[in-house]
Amino acid sequence: MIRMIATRLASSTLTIFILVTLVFFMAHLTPGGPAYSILGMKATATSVQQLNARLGLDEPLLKQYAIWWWHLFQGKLGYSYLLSRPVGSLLWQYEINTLVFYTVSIVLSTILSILLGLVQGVYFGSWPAKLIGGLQLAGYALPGFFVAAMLVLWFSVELHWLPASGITNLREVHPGIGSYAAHLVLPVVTVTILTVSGLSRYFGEAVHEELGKDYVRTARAKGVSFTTILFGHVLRNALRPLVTILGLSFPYIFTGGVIVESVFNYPGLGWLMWRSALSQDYPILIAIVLIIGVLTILGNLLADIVNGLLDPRASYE
Amino acid sequence: MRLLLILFGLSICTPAWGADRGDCGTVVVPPNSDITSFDPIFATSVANAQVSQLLYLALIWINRYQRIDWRRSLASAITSPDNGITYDVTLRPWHWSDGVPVTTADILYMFQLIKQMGATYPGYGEGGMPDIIKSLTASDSTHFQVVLKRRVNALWFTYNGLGQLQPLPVHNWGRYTLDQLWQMQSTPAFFRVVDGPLRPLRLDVGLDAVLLPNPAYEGPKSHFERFIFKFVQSDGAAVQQIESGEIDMAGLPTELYSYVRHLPGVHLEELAPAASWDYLAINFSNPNVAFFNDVRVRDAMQDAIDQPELIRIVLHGFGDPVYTAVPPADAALLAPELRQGHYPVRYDPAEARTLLQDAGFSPGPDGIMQKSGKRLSFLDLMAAGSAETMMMTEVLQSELRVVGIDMRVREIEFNQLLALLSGPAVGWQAALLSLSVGGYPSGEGLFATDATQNNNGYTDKTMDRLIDASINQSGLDGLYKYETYVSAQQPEIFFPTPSATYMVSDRLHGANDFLDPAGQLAPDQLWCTAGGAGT
Amino acid sequence: MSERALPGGGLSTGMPSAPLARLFGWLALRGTLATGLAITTAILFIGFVAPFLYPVDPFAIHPDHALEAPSLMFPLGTDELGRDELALMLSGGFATLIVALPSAVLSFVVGVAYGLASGLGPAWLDRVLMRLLDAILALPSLIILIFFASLVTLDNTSLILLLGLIAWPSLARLVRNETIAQRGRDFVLASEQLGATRFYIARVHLIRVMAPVLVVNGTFLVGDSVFAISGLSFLGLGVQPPQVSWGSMLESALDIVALDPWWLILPPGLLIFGSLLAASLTGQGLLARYGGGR
Repeated sequence: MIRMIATRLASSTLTIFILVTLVFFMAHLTPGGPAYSILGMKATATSVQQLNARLGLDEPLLKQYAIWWWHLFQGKLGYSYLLSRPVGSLLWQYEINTLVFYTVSIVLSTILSILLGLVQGVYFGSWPAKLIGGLQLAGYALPGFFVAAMLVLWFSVELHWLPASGITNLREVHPGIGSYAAHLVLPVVTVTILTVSGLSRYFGEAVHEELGKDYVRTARAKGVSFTTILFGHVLRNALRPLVTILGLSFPYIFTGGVIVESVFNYPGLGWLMWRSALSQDYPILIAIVLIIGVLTILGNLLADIVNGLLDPRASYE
Repeated sequence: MRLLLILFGLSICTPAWGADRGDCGTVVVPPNSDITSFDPIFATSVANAQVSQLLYLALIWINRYQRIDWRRSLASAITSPDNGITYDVTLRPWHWSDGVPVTTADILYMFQLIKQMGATYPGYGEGGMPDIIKSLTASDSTHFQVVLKRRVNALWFTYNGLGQLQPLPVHNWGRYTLDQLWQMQSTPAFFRVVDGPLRPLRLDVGLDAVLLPNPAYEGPKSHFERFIFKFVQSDGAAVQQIESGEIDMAGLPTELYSYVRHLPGVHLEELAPAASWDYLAINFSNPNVAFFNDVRVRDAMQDAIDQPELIRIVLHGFGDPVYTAVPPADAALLAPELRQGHYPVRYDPAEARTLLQDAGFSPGPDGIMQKSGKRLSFLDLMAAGSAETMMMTEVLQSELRVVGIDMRVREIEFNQLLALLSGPAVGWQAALLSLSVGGYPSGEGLFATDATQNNNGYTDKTMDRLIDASINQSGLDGLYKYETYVSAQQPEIFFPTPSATYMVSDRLHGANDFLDPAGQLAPDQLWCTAGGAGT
Repeated sequence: MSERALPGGGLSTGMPSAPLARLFGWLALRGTLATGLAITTAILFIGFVAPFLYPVDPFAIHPDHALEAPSLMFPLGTDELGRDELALMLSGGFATLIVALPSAVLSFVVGVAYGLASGLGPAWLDRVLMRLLDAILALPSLIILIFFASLVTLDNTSLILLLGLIAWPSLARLVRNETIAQRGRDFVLASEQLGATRFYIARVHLIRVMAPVLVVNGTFLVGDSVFAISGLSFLGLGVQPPQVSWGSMLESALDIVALDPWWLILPPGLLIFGSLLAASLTGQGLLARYGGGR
């Protein structure tokens, strides 16, 4: 186990290193760059050249690369020239929004998925399961931006119940929790719909599979009540694959969904990445790619560890 | 001979304050583009310039009629005793928000920063700044003198050159290097010492900037508690947010005009015409489109365009035709015959075709003109994201086709467009752009050979001579001759320009006085109906 | 984006009403495949045939008829520039599919080749290739797409390459696992005895055995491609204007959602939904019929 973790960590570090290097060089080798975005219509050959000199962008690429790693070891993630802020503090600010948004979404999704999955597994073959199955299929095929668009159309434009964008009502000097909550409803519902479709199906299959196992038949033959079997054993066993999936979704809590955040103009990390991509603000892009890479690998590792703990029989590559 | 520069007489009377002018609470307005900085010396975008001028007053305030509004200027008098070489400026008594007086040391400090920044200074080259200045010296804390290297047109230098100077708080900023100033330009806490009506509280880049009234401001007071610049992503979002009350005003997206007209609680206000103009930039250095170098081809292009019709169809009437390098807002500075509509070019497709034939072109099999086997065809680049621009481009395309010119269109990201425009000559052929111009509309930055913003290789000896005259000779005659020549030359193909029309919430009054088309904002002019103030 | 892991089908129920359930199940799956194929045909028709049948120019603007709801003159209404929405939908369909389908094919080919090479080659090659795969899989595909889309000029070729070179890893892993599993089987060993080259074995035997799995996953790949290009276009980083795609149409419609333009939101949304649904149903139907026992 320890050996597995150590090997994985080592190869993961190598992976991240390669990834980040690739990303860094790709970003810096493309034409354009922040000088044009900063200077706008005032961008002339001379001013761009002088600005690049001031920002240190005209140094040899390898030197910039080395400087970047040096800063990284000091805990500095770089400096966004377009936003004139250190990337680290910028990321943190937007990160909090994504954390809140996604934590709520995933908690809600998990609860709903378990409920739906239980129904689907228990009633497998009859109409409730079929109905849920149909909904899952539909939900799975719905693109996130379409769901978001329809929600905005109904609840914001037609009914005026909920705001269509943003994170809080700017007019309130000290926005209360109600304002934040109102702005979270539609994004959370969108993400929940999308997540539950896949997650509940996974869980439903797992429940169904568990219910077909020998120990269940044995317990029933012995006269143990169905409810006890269900909530005592089946649930626990069926939760295992769910944990794996949640572990794999771990990065999404941090990185957010770019599409959903862009539709609702919700200022999270995904939104930030999208805006940075549009304006070629590569310090931010590189930092976000780095973070996502690290988190994904950690998430995979975590899922594997948890699984290993829960089921020592599982083997690894 | 002393030449007093209070040339055009005194200015506007303030309307008497009525007793029913209520507090607006929070005012929410979209900025022109994303706000990324509060520092005037780094303000390369209109939005950043606007916000920095709310914090730091400029030496002179030029109103929409091209006159200096002395009540809003930090200078109380500007004179040029020798008619154009020396300028004596007197500062009015004024204080920073921490009580320290505004002095000439603050002006000297800004000038020093300008010189340090070189070509990266946004106003570099405009009004000759900073290289045309031989010396800038302060005789005491409220008087300073500028001596130029040569005699120039006093109006031109005052508006375009001196107008760039703003006192910056040397007692607060002086200890920082330029790099440090750069790094702190978006941090509100750094801008605590201001002399303008507002000061920054918070900046969430890409989202909003929150400003508060400066309690120590010595000018007219504002009627709100907070002022928020809220960045709006798109035209549709602007309409939606003004409908829901999230914002108080926004620029009118002309393509949504028919919907906006009927919105309850919202009305339209058309300001004085735009202080910018739209144009089709053409590349004189690209050998693939060498035909642009022939003035007959350029004039033919302009003659093919029916500007009033474009304004009617695309802009729903909210715009003005432009035939020379003078923004509609500067109409007061147009040559008399131009002001009456007698331009060297006009809508005349038959004339366009004749000009092309004179230039040696003849219609090809597909109706497109050609000469020695080469078709009169070019690629126009436009920045993606504006339905209005798209519509204009499509109508332009069909109008050009009528006279036998083939214009192909490609939409690209704005940044990519900028990169192409300052890249190698073969990288672009034509592009639809817009230029904001304030003050005295001389062309030294635009059309002179090797001018700072001349990136299409245009060069013409007569033009150079006329530009020089407009800058160096006194009076307006040089300017008028230059304007007429530009219209005949069409170094860029001028285009109808949308006027600044705004959708304004009914609760907000004074929008027309708050916003002036040159972009300066006067927040004290906003007020709301008493008793109906927003939250 | 959610993981697209679909555990194998199969109909073991262990539940009381087995015969009836089995009947429903069989019908449902039969229906699944049929429905999936039907929708697929419809979408392909809309994307590749219909644009040439409907003679209206999608880019012609009619400023006097902007933002009109469906009518006789404009069957699906107009957008804010007065362009015919039906024509745009067809043109957008073509633009979407002309990128999505080739990129799916590209992904498929690369994924299968990579998986086969890794599974059939020497052990060291397998290790190296799998490590590389891990590196690529470390990032969610949309993030990679966004990053690279911000760097390159976006025309059809570069988009096909971009999408094609991002989606293959999961397929590669699957193929590699399958290959390793099948490698030890008798018929493979017998072939080797007889002197067959690895390449021959791969081509003839392995692919034949893996065919069902390949087809099923290939189908899902197509759905993913359509989603990917639509998502990228929605964010402004896919198909570039003036060309439209379903994703960019949805984005423009969402822009002016305040005007309640349901006729601009539903067509592109439903078509993307339809494509993904078609891929899911077809894949699942095939899986149930031929997949089995996984």
